Amino acid sequence: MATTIDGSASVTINSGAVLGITSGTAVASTSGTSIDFTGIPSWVKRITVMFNGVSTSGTSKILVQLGSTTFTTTGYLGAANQTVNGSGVTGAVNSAGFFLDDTASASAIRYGNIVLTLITGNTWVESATIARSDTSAVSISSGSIALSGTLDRVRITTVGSPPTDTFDAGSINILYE
Amino acid sequence: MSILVLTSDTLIGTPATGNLEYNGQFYGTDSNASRAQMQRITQGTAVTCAGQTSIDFTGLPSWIKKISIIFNGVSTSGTSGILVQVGDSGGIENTGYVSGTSNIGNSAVGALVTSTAGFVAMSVTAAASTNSGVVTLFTVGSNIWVATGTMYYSGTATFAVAGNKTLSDVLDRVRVTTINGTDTFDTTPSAGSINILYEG
Repeated sequence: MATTIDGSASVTINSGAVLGITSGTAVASTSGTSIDFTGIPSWVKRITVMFNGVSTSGTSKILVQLGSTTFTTTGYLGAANQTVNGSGVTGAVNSAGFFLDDTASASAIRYGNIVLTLITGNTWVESATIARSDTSAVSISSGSIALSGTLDRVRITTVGSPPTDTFDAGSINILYE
Repeated sequence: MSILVLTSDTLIGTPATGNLEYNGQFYGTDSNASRAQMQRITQGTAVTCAGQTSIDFTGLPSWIKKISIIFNGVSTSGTSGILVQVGDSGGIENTGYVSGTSNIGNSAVGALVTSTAGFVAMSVTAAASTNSGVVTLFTVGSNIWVATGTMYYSGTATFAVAGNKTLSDVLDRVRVTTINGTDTFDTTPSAGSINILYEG
């Protein structure tokens, strides 16, 4: 077994698996219709996607899609449910991706994490809590997706084929472990 | 305590100094003398839970600080909710939990449902529902475990889960069961699976 102290407090073992948490590069979510994190190592068992004040230009809901070589755009199970001011309760059932929340508002500013956990094989289970700062709202969600191969990418986009709403505020990053 | 120390002569690559210790934990020290604990993350073996009233994960190591219980398309035979229980060398504990769950549905927020018998991941299920989500347990030390998570309830709602439990000894097992203990995990509408990730 080769052991490497790489100077960034990570220890590499067994075909490149890293002990510790690896941070991606934060992306300013201020333009574009999608943000991709690619090249995710095959040994990853958990990915946390972090949303810091993220907003979009329109009313299309934000989707998180996973992929193996290409992005998977069907077969997502689960839902996101939101409550606004303790009433205004809504829900959205997943299909083309994991709904980050059940917000359809250009003024929405989102904070929180979506955690993707490998249960077995290539099946990932999602869990998220997202709150908004533009109003008193919180969304919670869970779901799952069975990929056809090993996960190597995560996309944050909006509903649409192709999506047309653009990101216009905030930043997004991932942690993987 | 077992200690493995790698000197600069044994390192592959940089930095010039560093060490790796093993005592259930790993530590790395870089050339700037910045020392950090390394996390180990271990995946259990997924269990297809059909036909069982409870699923146990046992033999968990003492160094664990965080456990994620992962549910994928789990279905039960009735309407009883789902509990997560923890235990130590004395067995699974079914009292002393401070736990609650509520859900956001399509049209209403569900009432808070509490349990002292376990972390109540979902207060109710339906025979036709498939439930997916993650309940994560963290220790704050002194055998105190705190739970948080979300669970999808087929088509209509998502549950939010929280709670805590103080064990009398070091955690070494986790059980997933139904609240009434008699409803079984089944294959209709899907044969779900449960697994854990643990780390320290």
